[in-house]
Amino acid sequence: MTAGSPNTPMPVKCGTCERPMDVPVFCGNCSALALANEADYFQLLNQPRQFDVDPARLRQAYLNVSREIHPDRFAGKSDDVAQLSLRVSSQINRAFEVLSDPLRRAEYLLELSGGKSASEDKSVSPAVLAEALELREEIDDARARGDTAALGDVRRRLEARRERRTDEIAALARALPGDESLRNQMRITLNDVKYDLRMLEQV
Amino acid sequence: MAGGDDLIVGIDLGTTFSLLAYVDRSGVQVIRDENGEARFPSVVSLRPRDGGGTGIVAGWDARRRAVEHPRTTVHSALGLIGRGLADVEGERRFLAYELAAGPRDSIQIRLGDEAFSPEQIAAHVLSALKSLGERQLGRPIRRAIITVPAYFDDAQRNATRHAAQIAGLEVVRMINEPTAAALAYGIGLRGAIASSWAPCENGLASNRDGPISLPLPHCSENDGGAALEPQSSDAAAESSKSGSDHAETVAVYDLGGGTFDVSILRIESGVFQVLSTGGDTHLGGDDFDREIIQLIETEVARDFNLPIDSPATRQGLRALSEAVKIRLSEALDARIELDLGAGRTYFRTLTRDEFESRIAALVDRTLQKCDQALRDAHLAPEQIDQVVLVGGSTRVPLVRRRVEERFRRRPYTALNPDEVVAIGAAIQGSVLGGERPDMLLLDVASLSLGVETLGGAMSKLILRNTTIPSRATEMFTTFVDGQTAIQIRVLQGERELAADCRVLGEFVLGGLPPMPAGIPKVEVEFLIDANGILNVAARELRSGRAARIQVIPNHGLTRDEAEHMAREAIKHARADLDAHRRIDLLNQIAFDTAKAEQMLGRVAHLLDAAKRETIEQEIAALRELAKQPPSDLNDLQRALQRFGQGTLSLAEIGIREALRSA
Repeated sequence: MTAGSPNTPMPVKCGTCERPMDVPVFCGNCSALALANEADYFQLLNQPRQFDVDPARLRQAYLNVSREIHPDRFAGKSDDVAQLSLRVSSQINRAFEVLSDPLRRAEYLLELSGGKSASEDKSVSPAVLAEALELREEIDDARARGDTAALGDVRRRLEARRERRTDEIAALARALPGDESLRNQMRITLNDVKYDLRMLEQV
Repeated sequence: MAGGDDLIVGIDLGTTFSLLAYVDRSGVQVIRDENGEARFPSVVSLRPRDGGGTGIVAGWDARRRAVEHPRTTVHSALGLIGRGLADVEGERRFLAYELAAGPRDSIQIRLGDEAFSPEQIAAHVLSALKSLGERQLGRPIRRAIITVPAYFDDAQRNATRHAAQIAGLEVVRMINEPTAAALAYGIGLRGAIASSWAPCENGLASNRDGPISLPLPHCSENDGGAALEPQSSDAAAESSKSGSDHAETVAVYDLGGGTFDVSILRIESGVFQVLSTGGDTHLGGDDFDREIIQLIETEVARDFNLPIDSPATRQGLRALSEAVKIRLSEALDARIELDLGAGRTYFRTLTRDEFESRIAALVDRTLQKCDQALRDAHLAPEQIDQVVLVGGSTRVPLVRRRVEERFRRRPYTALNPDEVVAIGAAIQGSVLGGERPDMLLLDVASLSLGVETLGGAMSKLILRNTTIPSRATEMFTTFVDGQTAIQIRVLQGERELAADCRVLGEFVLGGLPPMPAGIPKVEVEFLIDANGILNVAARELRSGRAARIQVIPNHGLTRDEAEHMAREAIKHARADLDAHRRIDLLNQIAFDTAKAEQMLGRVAHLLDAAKRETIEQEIAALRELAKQPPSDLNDLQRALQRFGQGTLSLAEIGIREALRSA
């Protein structure tokens, strides 16, 4: 998708019966399956293309689509249909996985808005590396002393920081597509929060 | 529906017992033998035929032969399926039968003069169970849902599928045991349970008069059958408040004979979504037995200075230890008496406390897996609405106590822990048969999948606990100008180094157009299907050509071998078992002759001309025989054995030579 595309997905027509489809992979009218490689994850699960999602609605949509397209529904069918269902199903599973997680959802929205991917731009905020080093030492010290209280303290601080950064990312994601500097800022903050996550795994 | 031609049965293929169930108009039926026993021992025994030769028996008949004929009776073979000889080194000394190396580090089980792969043994169990089911149903069984431990890797899943194919069964779907159990549990939640499904004390089967009947809500009128009567009153309160719209989070703790699994699921409007799973394919009730075996062995050695080394004693000790374990689930102590011959007898009273202290570390390992599964599901123990116990080993009181402590709630024990997995598989059979459009299973990949990168690291492409089917793609290129093939090592596991992960196999992408190094762009697609089995496809993007993929499994059968066997299986189940054996033998011959030839080249200067010529002739003769193998495979086997003996001196010389030059 290109930057500036509207939040509401375009209705898609079924290739078999030409009726409009709620989700581009399955026709509620004629039960045909379709591979929708061009569709984004929001379209696949019939959600508005925006950062804020209603988790219950997202989940319900996922379960409803899965019920129709899962390979278990095509056990006795021809190999072609079974293969198609396998592909569509893995696509839907991926879509739900990404949209369920706020950070991955933000990352995905940034990609849809033409921002750089994590592998294209690995830069972080100037303070992050120094902070990480300090925390690293603090964790090692606390661990060497067997000081669980100090470790708990580090953990709480890290969690607070991750939350603060997640909030910043959410605010930036709501302002997408924005201009290039906004997208770059979002890229950097997403890279920053990965440091927090990695450190959290270690305490 | 039963009555149609397309019945899909459910089979729980277990380490110690296997069961078969199906769904008909009145509900789920569990197949039982003439004694009302649903459990069919996963044991196979070779028995001499009256007219000469040998026949194969499976089930209770085989189990009864175990002590008297330990060397020709195979138990727990499923623990060997899809694994390499090196993987099972630790267990080997507990087995009364002999193992040998097959091609590609696969395992061969030696029974008398014959050798079988674990797949063949499993196929015998399946085929006997299938016949039992067919006799009772009065019609052929062709299609099945087969359950496997959730923590089975790709090789183990493939090997299980091959075993079913050899037994003439089409595997419509493989599902994970704890997920199957959750399905049976979830159906029970809807409140339509017949009175014959009443549980009894200890969760043991109470109704031995006929098949257990568990009607499914949509296809039977609820005839006012008694509601499910769980053992604990809080469990009853839980299940009564759970309507079909109510979401419930369930942990399934499944401790079987040889494997442990834990799965955490969310059950909501007919969808059973696995959130996380964990386990150990190497931990089960057999390990509890081994603790008792080791205790007795140590004490017998200490008090009588006697090693327990005869296969018959070992097999007897196994049966005895199992009985002691079962006794200790009900009583606080168990008396052990072991006749050691020559008037010597070992006496011992084992208390439950002693037993529990010996198995405590094993039970702790299962709890660590539970903690990990909870973390992976991002849930605290308090957020679990129900803990369902599955597998015979959950009858051990220590297991129940520790699970209760960990999850801070009484586990749900109203389901028969032996039968619940087969029942769940039968229900999934009706889902795949299109009879239950309201139900759906969403399972996960239990192990991360990745590829080995330069330098031996594991690069993960599909993370564990990802919902399946799941697809990932990765780009590869060449390092040398004109290179036309790329080799990829596919791994499964959680560790960072490739060496610490399980190698699924080598994938060779061939048929690339020759181009300068780094120019070809090969997109490889890894797709884990709904069975949890990996499918790989590759395409060279610049030429748009599909790359040819050859898969060399780390051990076990290649795809061609498996397909060949499957085709044969459809024709003749018995002939197909032979076909499998033939392939194994021919592989072994190719392997052994090549090895002998290599050795001969190395030590030729140490042999006289006559000896050299004899060996050369032997190699040529065996190869000639392999080109047109005799119809009696025993002849082929004997020829292979003679060859082994004939070239023994060669191996010895080779070893001496290697030692001298070292």
